[in-house]
Amino acid sequence: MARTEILNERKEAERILAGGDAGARASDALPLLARYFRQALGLTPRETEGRLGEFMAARCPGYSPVRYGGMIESLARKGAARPLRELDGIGVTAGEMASISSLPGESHRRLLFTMLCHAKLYDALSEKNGGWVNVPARDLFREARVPVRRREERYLYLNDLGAASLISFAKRVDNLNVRVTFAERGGTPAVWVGDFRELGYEYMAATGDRGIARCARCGRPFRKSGNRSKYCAECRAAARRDLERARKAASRKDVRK
Amino acid sequence: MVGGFASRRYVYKLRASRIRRAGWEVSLSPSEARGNGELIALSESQLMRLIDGLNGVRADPARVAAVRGRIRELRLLEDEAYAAPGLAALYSEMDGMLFRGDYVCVVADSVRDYRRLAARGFRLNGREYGRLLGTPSGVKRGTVVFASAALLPELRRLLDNGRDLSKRLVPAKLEAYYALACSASVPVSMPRGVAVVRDCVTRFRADEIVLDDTGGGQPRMRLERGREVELDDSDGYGMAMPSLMERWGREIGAGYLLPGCVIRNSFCKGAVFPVDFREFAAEHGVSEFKDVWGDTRRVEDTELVLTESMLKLWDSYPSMEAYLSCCERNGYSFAITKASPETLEDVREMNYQFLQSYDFTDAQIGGLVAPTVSWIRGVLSGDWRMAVLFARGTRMGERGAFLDGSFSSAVMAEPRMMGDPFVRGQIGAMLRKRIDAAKTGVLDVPGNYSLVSGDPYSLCQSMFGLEVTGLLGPGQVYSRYWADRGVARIASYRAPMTCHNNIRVLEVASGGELDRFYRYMTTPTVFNSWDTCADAMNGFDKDGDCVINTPLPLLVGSTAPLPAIVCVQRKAPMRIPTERDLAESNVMSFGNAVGKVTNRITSMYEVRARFPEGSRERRVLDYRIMCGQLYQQNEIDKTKGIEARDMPASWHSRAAAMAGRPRDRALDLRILVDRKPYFMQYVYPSERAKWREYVDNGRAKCLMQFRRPLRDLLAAKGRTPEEESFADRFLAGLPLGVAPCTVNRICWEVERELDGEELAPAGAFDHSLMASGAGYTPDQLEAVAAAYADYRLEHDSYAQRAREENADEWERRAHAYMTREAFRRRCEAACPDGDALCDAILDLCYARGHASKQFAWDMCGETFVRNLLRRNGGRIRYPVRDDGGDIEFRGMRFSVAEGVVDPEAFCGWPGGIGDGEEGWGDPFGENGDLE
Repeated sequence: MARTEILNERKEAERILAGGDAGARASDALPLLARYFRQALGLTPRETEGRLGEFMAARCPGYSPVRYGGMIESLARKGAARPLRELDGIGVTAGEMASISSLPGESHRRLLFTMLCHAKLYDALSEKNGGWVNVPARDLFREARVPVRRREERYLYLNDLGAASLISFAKRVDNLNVRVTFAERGGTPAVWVGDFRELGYEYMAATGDRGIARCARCGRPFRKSGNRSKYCAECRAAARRDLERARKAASRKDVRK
Repeated sequence: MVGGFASRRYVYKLRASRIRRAGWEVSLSPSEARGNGELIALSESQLMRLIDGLNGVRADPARVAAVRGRIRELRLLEDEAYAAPGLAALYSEMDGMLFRGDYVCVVADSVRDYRRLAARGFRLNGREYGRLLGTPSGVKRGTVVFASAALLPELRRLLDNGRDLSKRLVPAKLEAYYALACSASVPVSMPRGVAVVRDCVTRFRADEIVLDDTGGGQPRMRLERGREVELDDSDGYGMAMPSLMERWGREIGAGYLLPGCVIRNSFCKGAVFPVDFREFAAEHGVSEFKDVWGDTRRVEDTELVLTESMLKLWDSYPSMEAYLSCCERNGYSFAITKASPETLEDVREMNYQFLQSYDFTDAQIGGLVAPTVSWIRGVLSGDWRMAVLFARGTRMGERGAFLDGSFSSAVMAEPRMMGDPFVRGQIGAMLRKRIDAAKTGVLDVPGNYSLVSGDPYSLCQSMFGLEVTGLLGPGQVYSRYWADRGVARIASYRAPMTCHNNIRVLEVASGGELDRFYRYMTTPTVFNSWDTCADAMNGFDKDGDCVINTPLPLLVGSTAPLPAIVCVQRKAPMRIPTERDLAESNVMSFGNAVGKVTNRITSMYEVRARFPEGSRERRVLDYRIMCGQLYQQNEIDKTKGIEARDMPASWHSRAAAMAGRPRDRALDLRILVDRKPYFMQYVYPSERAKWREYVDNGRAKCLMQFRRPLRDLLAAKGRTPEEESFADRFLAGLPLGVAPCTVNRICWEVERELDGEELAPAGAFDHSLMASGAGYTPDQLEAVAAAYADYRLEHDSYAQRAREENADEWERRAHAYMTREAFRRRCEAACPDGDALCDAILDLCYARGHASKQFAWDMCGETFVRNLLRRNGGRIRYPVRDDGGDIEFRGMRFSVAEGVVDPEAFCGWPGGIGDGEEGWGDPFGENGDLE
């Protein structure tokens, strides 16, 4: 899971340590685990190093303590610096939803909703944030499920949102961060977003789009391909594997009888 | 330079932090170290020989070659059951012969850890190790040599070589003198008579610019006309009888009378040139001379004359005999680190330091760039002959074609290999690198690189007590190469250089007595004893320094005669150095900042180009550029423990300039050098990444804010105030300077000519050309595929590590070499029959199409070449220099020669077609050692 998608880092660390998927490379999880060991478990840097080494030895085939030693040491030292993020979700108010609905295009609305969620997430983590979104445009568009043919199209979308005064831009000419101008502090949530993996679909679900369902396995929203769709793409494959395993186990059992 | 003839040893290279993490006690086998990237290859040196001597072992190149030969034979066997254990045993034997466990390089990635290691040592495989020494170039990269504690006292005694230990010295200098024993060198026979004489010092008057920062504030610069100058004309060089140079030439395998060479011995470093000083003495009626100790020596009994500047601690010995007897007792011998070539090259490359101080017109830049662009276009055309010349160099055919497991050998055996995607990829990558280099001013000019000598005629006069006149007058040099070509004037450059005052235009003198006296010095450049060349060219000495000489009229005609710059130097504190002083001197040299100062000066040229001729800004920048030489010297001085000043921060830091005196602030900010010039993106990949990110983000931001492309916005007239502000801020914030300085303009010209050019397309390629036709088992393929998976993992992880650690070219090549070795062994263990391995790897990497072809060539390159040779009856074709030839490349003409070799005798290892171990994929080049 990308860092921007994790709302509760403590839970995520515990999930990984319990044997959950750590991403493409086990070493990608090390920064999070180092912070978890230092902050949640109160371990010393030396103890954290040991735990990170054990994790790598268990989860990374061909792990070499010599190669990763410097990295692990540095992560263990810095692990106390940034507090663990522990949020259950963010609430979007009716006023914010109304601002988003004012946009004419569905893609624009999904994108703006995604940006609003990130802005509110950062606002929840830092009082000084003031609606700024520090997520690369590529990730925003992916999470919003807004496909573009060319890279430039992304910036034209953002220009549209700027023209509608719903976002503003950073002053520096090479800074691509944007600020959501209509984010409200406080207020009663009309929509609760507890999962940042598919913010575009979250918006569609929140606006009553019947083509969106929640995965029966992981809770992630997904676009239904038929009325019987139960799982998101990842879980569908996993569920199929589980079924296959069960079927083979049953047939082995039959043979043994 | 001819070099790299020393053989290799494997040693451990460990990081200080890694030793700390292991609790100062490491357990590591050579094979584990190889897998961890903690084993490196070093050239043989005096220190290695001393360690071998203490251990009672003797390096035996013949035995190493024999083992390699047996490995080659086994790999040709088809009986794998017999070959596999044999190969393992032979590799183990080779490790035993080449691995030196008593010598460990430690990378001081943390000063704290290094201090702990230097003070208390560490344990490796149960043995104690302690700090031995740091070489100047090694310490700059943070690497210090440790040795087994069991040998340490004896090694230190040997390194001291019986010197007078009560002499007060500069610790950093003593450390550098010890480090002379680490230079890659080949021992040579003892001369028949050695003498050390006083340096030849001349005095004359000349105009010089004196820079002095010993007072407060910014450096004082004054032009002193007719200043009394004292020149040590023999600084770092000596003379050898031609008979000795001929003998040494034979002994190092060069096979010619060496026109010059660089030697080492205990505390001895410098160049030696062949001069018949006995003939000189006879002509002047001299038969004896006084050595530096005042002892009388007979000319007839002397074959090698060293100068006091060569024998660094001569005054720590009572006499020559005492020194030589210490050397003999302690196992030292004279050794050669590099030798001047028999003939010089005709074309040489400039670099940005040499070109940046010129003001060229656009037409002149076009003319300067044209020859380089022309031959690069030739290689881009896909002509295999050009590709071979490009890959192998223009002198490749001089001693016949050297074949190894490289793609260029494959092309020589079969030109259709030009269609191989790997070959095309390699040539493409090399071309991209070369084109990028051309953008930084690496441009071909007629010229050559030659060893510097003082005037040995002056040295002869000085040593024999005659009046010193020399044979050359002020402004003259002797260079046989240029004299033979009738060149009257050359421009001479020496790196590092910073300003135009460092370039010298010299008159080439020849004829009569000059040709006779210097007749054996066919390739060095002999400088006169009567001008300020040495000061001007950033203070060169003659202990192996080289210059680049070119007669190119554009450069000769554009070089202004300017006075030399001399910097008032501070004296380094002297003491009787303790081990702690020496270890601390290493710390002072870690990460030396000379390069940073040099880069700031280069940036000043870019800033200078923003202002008109004669402006105040230009004048101040000219002054600062000249001061650059002083600050370079200061950085070097700091490593010797001298308290020297840094370049003023207000010259390069915006914050410091803002905080400066109000009356200076505006000017300081206008001429601030806080970014590198545009062309530097081709030197520093990080700068290129920064540039691209800034421009990409600027484009994106322009679309976001104004819904129009940046290019249109910048070119548009009648912009809105917001657009105007955006354009101004975008240009002001560019991470690289884009003012039209000379090298930026060269860069843009090369970009205009070559950007977007690709290697010409080739037809379909059939990889079965390289196949052996032998079978392999599925198990073997699986094992090779597993090795390949690990190889990829290793490459990927190293690529990331190298980026993070900013590994230099040497380290990357060394790592590639060691990885290749390790995986070759693994593949050979899985599939001992070389032909079967070749076919398995071909199927894995070519037929399936996804696996890396680099892996295939790393593992089986020589088998591919052998198979190509088998198919065409051993026939190879290669370009050789031929003035009537039809191939024009880098201003020279070539034709294609043919030869026939025995494919079965070829394996890339010594004993094949090549001439020794250096040829086979050796990544270390001529500077493979730490020194």
